[in-house]
Amino acid sequence: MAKLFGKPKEIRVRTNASGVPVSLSRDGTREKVTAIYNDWKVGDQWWGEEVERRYFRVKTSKGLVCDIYHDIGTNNWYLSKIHD
Amino acid sequence: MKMTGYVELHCHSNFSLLDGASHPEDLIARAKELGMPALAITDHDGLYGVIPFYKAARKAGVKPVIGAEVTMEGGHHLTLLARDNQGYSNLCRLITRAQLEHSKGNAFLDEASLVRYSQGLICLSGCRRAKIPTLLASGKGDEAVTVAKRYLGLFGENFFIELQNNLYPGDRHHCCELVKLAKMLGIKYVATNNVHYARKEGHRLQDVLVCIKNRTTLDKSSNLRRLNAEFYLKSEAEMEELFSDYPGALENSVHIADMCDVNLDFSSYRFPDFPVPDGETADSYLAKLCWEKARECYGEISENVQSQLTYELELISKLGLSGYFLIVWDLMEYCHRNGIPSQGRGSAANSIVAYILGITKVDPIRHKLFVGRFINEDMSSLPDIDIDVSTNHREQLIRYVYQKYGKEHTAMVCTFVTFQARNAIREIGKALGMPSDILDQMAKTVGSYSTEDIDKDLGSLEQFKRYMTSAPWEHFVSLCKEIANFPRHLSIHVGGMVISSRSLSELVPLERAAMPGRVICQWDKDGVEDAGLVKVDILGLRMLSLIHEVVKLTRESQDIDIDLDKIPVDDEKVYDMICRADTMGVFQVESRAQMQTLPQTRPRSIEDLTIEVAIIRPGPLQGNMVHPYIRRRQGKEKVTYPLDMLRPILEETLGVILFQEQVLKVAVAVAGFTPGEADSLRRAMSRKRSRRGMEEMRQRFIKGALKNGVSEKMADEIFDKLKGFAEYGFCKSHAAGFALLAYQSAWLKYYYPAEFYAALLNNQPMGFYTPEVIVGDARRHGVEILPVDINRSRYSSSVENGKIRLGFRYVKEMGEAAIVKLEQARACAPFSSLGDFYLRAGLSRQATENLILAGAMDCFGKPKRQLLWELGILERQGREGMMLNLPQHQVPLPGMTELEEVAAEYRVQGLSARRHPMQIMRSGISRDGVLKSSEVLALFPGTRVRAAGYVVCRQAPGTAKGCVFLTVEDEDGLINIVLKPSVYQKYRYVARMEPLIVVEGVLQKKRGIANVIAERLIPLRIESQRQLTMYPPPVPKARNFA
Repeated sequence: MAKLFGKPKEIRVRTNASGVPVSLSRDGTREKVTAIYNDWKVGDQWWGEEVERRYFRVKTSKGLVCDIYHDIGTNNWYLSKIHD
Repeated sequence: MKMTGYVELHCHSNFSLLDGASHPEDLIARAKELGMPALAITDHDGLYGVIPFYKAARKAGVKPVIGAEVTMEGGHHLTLLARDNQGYSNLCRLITRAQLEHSKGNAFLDEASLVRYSQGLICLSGCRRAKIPTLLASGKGDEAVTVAKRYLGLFGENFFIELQNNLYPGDRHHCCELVKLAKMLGIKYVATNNVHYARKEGHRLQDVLVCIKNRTTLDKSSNLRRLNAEFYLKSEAEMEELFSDYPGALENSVHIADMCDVNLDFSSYRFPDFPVPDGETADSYLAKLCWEKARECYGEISENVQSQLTYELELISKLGLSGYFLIVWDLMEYCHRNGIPSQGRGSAANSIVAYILGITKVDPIRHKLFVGRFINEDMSSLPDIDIDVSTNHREQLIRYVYQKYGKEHTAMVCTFVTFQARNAIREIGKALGMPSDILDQMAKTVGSYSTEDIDKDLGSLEQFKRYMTSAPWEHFVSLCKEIANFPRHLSIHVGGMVISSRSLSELVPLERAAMPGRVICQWDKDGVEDAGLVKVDILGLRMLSLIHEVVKLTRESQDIDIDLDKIPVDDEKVYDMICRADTMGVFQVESRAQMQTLPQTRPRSIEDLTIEVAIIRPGPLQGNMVHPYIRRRQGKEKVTYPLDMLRPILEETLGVILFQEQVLKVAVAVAGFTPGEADSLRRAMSRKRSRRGMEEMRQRFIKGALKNGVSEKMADEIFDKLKGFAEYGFCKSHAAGFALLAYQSAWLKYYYPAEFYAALLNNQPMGFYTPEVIVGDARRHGVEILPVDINRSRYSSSVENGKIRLGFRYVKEMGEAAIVKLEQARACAPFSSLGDFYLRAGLSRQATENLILAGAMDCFGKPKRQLLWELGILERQGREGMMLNLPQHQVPLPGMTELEEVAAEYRVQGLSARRHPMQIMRSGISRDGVLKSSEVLALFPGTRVRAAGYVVCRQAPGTAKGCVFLTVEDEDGLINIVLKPSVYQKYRYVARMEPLIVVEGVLQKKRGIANVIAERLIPLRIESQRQLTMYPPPVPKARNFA
C-alpha cells in the first residue's frame, strides 16, 4: 500500500546540475537517492493558480521508495507519496 | 548558423484542426532559430498544411519533410513520411482512401492499403497511441514483436521505432522497452517529440483547443488535456538530455531527414489534354477556332484585331495554356447550349481570345483593355479565368465538369473556416468558463473582424469594463489574438474546381464534403495555385439568376421576349434612374456608398458605370482615390497629368489612376517595364508586400524612368501614386463586365418593375437589402404586393396583372415538400374552405397556422383569429373526426389589430405584404414630432429633426474614421444616418442591437444627398411596448457590413 499525503510534506533535496535529486532530507536525516524509477512533469491550472511540478519516483539509501516533486513556482521540494 | 544534430520528425501544425497550436510558418521560424536543418510536418490524416509549410520552409532554408500521422483502423496512430515523390503520391492515396472509405471526419486507414502503397514511405512506429507502444504498455510484448516484424517486412530499412519522452509517468520506461524491441529485431530507432506547438507557451492555446474540440471548459477537462507543456519544438540540447541513454536516436532523425526529398511543384500535371479533332493540337485547334469566330464577332477583321489575336495566340501557345482556354471555352459552350446564364469575369476579360470564344462579354479592342494584366510572357503564376454562372444553374455546370473529366481528375477546392474575432470570443471564452450571455453580447458588439484590437475594442464598452481587471481576461485577450486565422474546419469553396491530368488523389488527398457525394481536396485555392495546379472558379452569381428569371417572368406575364444582348445601352431614362440613386436591387450600384455618390458622378454610359463599379469600394475609398475623381468629374478641379506621356493612359479616368491596367501601362510607359515586369510590380504592391522587395522595385522603376528622361523626383512621385493605388485597384475588364450587368439590371428594373422585384425576391439572399425592404421599394414604385394566397400562390413569387403575388417559400414551415403536397392537392380542385384545405393538403398545424397568419386564407372571407380557432377544433377532431361532420361551436372572437396582424406577418414570413410597420406605429409617435422620411428630406439643411424606422443596414467602414452609418426605412423611404464616433460610442448598443429606432439629429444636405447627423438614438420598442404585448416586436434582420 502506498501512503498518500493529504498535504504534501516539504522536504529538502539536493540535485545535480540537471536538477535530478541526489539526496533528500526529511525529519533532519539525510538519505542518498540510490535509484530513480520514474520521472514526469505536470503543468496545469495556468488560468488560475498555476501548478508546475517535476516529479521523481526515487529509492533512497534507507530503502524508502517515494514520489517527491519540485514545485517550479516556489522552488520547494515536497514528498507526496510513500510506496511500500 | 550551426546546424544541430536533431530534426523534429513528428510535428503537428494547426492544420491538425483543434489540436496543433502553431501556424506552419511559426514552426518553421522556430526550427530555423534552433538551427534545425530540416523539419517535418505530420498532421492528423491530412496534408492540409503542407503547401504553406513547404513554402515557408523553402524560404527559410529549412528542408521540408512531408508526412502525416495517420489513424489506422482500430484507432492506432502511425507516423508516415514521404521519402520521395512516389512516397508522397502514395501518402496522398492512403489518406484519400482513409478519408473516402469512412464517414466525414472519421478517417481510418486499413492495413491492406498500407501494404499496397508503402513504396517511397518512411514509417515511424508512432506516438504512445500507436499500436506497438500500446501493446508493450499492456504487457503484450509478443504481439508487439509480431507487429514490428510486419512493418519491418513492409518498409524494411525505412521502418524506425519512434521514441518519445514527453515527461509523462512511464515514458522513460516505455522508451527502454521500445529500444529493447528495436535491438532484438535489428530496427533502428529515432527520437521525436510529438510537437503540438512551436514554443512552450503554446501549451495554453493547445489546452484551449482541446476544450473547443470537446465542447468543454478548462476546469472540466483535466482528463482530456495534456499533462504538461512538453510538446514544443525542443532544441538538440533538450532532446539530448532526454535521450542520452540511447545513442543514435538523435542522429537518426537527421539521417531520415537527409533521406527525404519531395518536390511539390505539380505544374506539369496542370490540366488534362482537351480532346481535339484528329490532326489538330491544342494550339492549332484553339487558333482555328479563334480565327473562325473572329469573323463572326467582328465581320471584317481589322488590323487591330489581327495583330492582337496573333499576339495572344502566340503567347498562349508559348505558355502552354491552349488546353486551358479550350477547357474554359467548352464550359461556356455547354452553358450557351443549355441556356445557362454565365460570363467570364476578372482579368480574363482583357483577352481577345476569351472574348472571341464567348468566355467574356467585353470587347477588349473597343474598351481599350490591356492583355498584359491577364497573361504576359514572364508569367510567374497562372492566369485565372473565373466563370460567373447563374446560382440556380451552378450545380448543373459542376456536374458537367465531373462528367467530362472524370471523378479521378476533378475535385472542389476547400476553404478553411478560420478563427476571427467573433468565433474566437465565443469559443475561447467558453473554454475559459466565461458566462455565455456575456460572450454572446461581446461577440455581437465587437466592432472588428480581426482579433487584433480585441482588447481596445471590447474595453471601450462600459458593460465589459468590470471584467477587464480580472486575471482570466488577460488570458482571454491574448488567446483570442493568438488563435487569429487558425483554421477551424474545412468547408467547400464557393466555386473553385481543380482539374488535373494526373489522378488527383496522387497529388493531394481528397475527402468528403458536407454535401453528400461531393469530394473536396485538402488544399484551399492558394494551396492549389502554389502547387502549380489549375483551377477554374465556377462562381454562383445570383444577379445572373435574377436576370434570367426576369426574362422568364416577362415572357409568361406579358408575352414579351427580351434579348438582353440587343437592348440599347444608352437609354437616357435608365441612366436618369441610376443618377437619382433609385438603384435598390440594381447590380453593384445599390449600396449606401453607391447611392451617395451616384448623384455626384452621374454616370451616363457603360464606360461611366465601369468607373463607378470600380471606385466605390472600400479600397479606393480608403486610398482616397475617389474624391479627386469625383471633383474632376463635377468640373470642380482641373484635369491634369503628372507627365504628358500619361495623358493617353489616364485620359478616360480624368488623370486619376483607377484601374490595375493603368498601373501596368504607366509602369511600361514611364519606366520601360515589360508587361511581365509591370505585372510583378502590381503583384508586389498588392499582396503581402515586403519593404525590401518594394525598395528594389522602386530603384528599378526610377532607373528606367531616368532613361526615359523623367526626373527622379517625378518618378518617385509616380511610384508612390502607383503604390497607393495598387493595393485596392480593380481591374477594368472585370469592372466592365460588371457594369454591363449593372446596366442590364437597371434597364429591367425601369421597364419591367413587377417582374424585376418578383425575381429579386425569389433570388434572396442577394445584394444589399432584405426582402421586407425590397417590398417597400416595390410599393413605392407603384408595384402592388399581394399576400400569399392558398389558391393562387406558387412556390416562388409570381406576377399577376402587374402585381406581385408572394410565393409560399417565404412562409416559415413551408418547405419544398409541404409546397409540393399543397400543389398536388390543389391540382384536383381549388380549396374551398379551411376544412377542405386541412383535409386535402395534409400540412402540419404550424404550417397551416403560418399560412393563416400570412393572409393566405383571407380568400375564405373569415377573420384570421376565427380561422385559427377553427384550426384548433379541426386538430382536436383529427382528420377522421371531420368526416363525421361533428357540430362546430361558434365563439365570438375579437379581431386582430392592424399592428398584431403586421407583427404576425413578420413573424411567419419576415415581411408584410401590404403595410410597412411604421404606418401603424406612426399614430403612436406622431405627437412626439417624429417626421416621415419624405418630410425630413423636404426640410432645409441644418434643421433639427426626429425620424424613426427600421434599421435596414449598419456600416462601419474603415474609411470613415470611426463614423458609423445606418440606413433606416419607414413607409415613405430610406433615411441615411451618420453616427459620429462619440455618438456611436454612447448609443452603440442601440445602434447595433435594436431593430426599430427613433433618431434625433441635424439634417445635412450636400451635393444632392441628405444625411441626418445623429445626436441621440432611442429604441422605438420602449415607446410602443404596450401595444406589442400580444406578439413580440418584429425583428428585421438588418444586414451588417464591416
